[in-house]
Amino acid sequence: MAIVKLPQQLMKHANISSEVVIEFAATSIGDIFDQLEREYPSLRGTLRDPTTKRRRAYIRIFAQQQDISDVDPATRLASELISSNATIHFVTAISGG
Amino acid sequence: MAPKLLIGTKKGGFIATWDQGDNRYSLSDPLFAGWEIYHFKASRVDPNLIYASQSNLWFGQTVLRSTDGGANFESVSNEFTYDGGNQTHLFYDGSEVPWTFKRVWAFQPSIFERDVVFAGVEDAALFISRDLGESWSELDSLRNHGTSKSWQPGAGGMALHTIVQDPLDSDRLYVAISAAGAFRSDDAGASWTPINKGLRADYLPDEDVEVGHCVHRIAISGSNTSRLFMQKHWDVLVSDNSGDQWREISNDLPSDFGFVIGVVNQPHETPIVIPIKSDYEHFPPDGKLRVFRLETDGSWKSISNGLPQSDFYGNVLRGAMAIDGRSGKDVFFGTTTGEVFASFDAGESWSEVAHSLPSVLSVEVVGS
Repeated sequence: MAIVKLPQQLMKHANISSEVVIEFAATSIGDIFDQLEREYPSLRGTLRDPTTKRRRAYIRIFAQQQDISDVDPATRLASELISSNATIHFVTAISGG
Repeated sequence: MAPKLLIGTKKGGFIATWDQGDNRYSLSDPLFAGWEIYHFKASRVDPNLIYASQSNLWFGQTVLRSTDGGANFESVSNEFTYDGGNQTHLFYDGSEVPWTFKRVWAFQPSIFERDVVFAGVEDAALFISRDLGESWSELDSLRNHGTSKSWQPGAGGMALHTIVQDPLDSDRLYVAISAAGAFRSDDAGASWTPINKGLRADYLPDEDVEVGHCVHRIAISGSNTSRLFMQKHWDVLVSDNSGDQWREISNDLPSDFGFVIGVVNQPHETPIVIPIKSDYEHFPPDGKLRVFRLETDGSWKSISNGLPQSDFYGNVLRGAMAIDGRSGKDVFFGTTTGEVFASFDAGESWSEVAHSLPSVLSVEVVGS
């Protein structure tokens, strides 16, 4: 199980009322994306490009407060980052004024 | 009763409905608040079927669909994958850059088939869905046209922004791309012909060049579907042979730069435009927001009663004017300064639908 914190605008878009708690089978960032998009299909293509699967440039990802944005999506993350009750935080850039 | 309007803005969408009791439009709360809604359009075949192009810098493109007239929306496919073929086009500086999907500029729900919808996107390409937006495939013969390696972006990007279906011929489609030009297909998108003969531009040294034209909008006549009208970067033009040849009709307009063009049918069928001062001064000449109508003698007449006639410095973007094709006289447009205006007499008089909205990107009439 893990807690996923999403940007407020995306939560509204996906009709998510609070932080997302997912039964966590993920071992990589790619798994996290897959699992989120499977459970909330309207998130498809919002956190990563739907075709290239690359993380969107104005979003960064933190696991247990560690920036994992640039970790290869297929790479297995350290166990403490994806342990039970870990927090995965998607953060948007403050840009646009 | 006045038609329902769909308004797309820089920070959300709005639905305007006619309030019979108050005898004016009332506005919905913001839909998709905070998102850019490049286009917000209903199907003519099924007016309860509505598509919204929702995008922003952070989360990219999403596509929303309503099947109940806008009461509820759901996400449908946002996968627009270029279908191989030509891999590069030109950047502003002439260098070759790869084709990259950025956003949907325009939806055209088919006027013949409920489940079919076209999407015009940036970088310029035309996509089709035959399942109400659940999946998209590229009509790639357009982007693989022999000229496309030389297409370049306009100031707003390299976008396919205008899609027109011939109402009498389901195989005939027109599209416009900034800055490549206008194209026609006579076989439902299987092949394309550039239709830019007669277009002139100071920025194109070769007067007869096939592509490179910054076409801002095209509109089709309701009574004679081989007649098209065009608002180009500069110049207003007409074609009487489905785009095979164009001739300029700008004549005495105060400026022939602008973005929108449409066709009204009163007092006779004729185009209307909203002149903008220039390509670097995106506001009307003399601070006057004016609509001009082409008269039978070739002159243009201002039909602007009720519009701001001093100190107006907004713009009217290419998707921000709509004419109800059923009446031919109900005209609506929105401005980058957040006003939406309506005329129910083909432009002779205008009233305000809304004001102080975010910058208006698109206005559409439901059912038209």
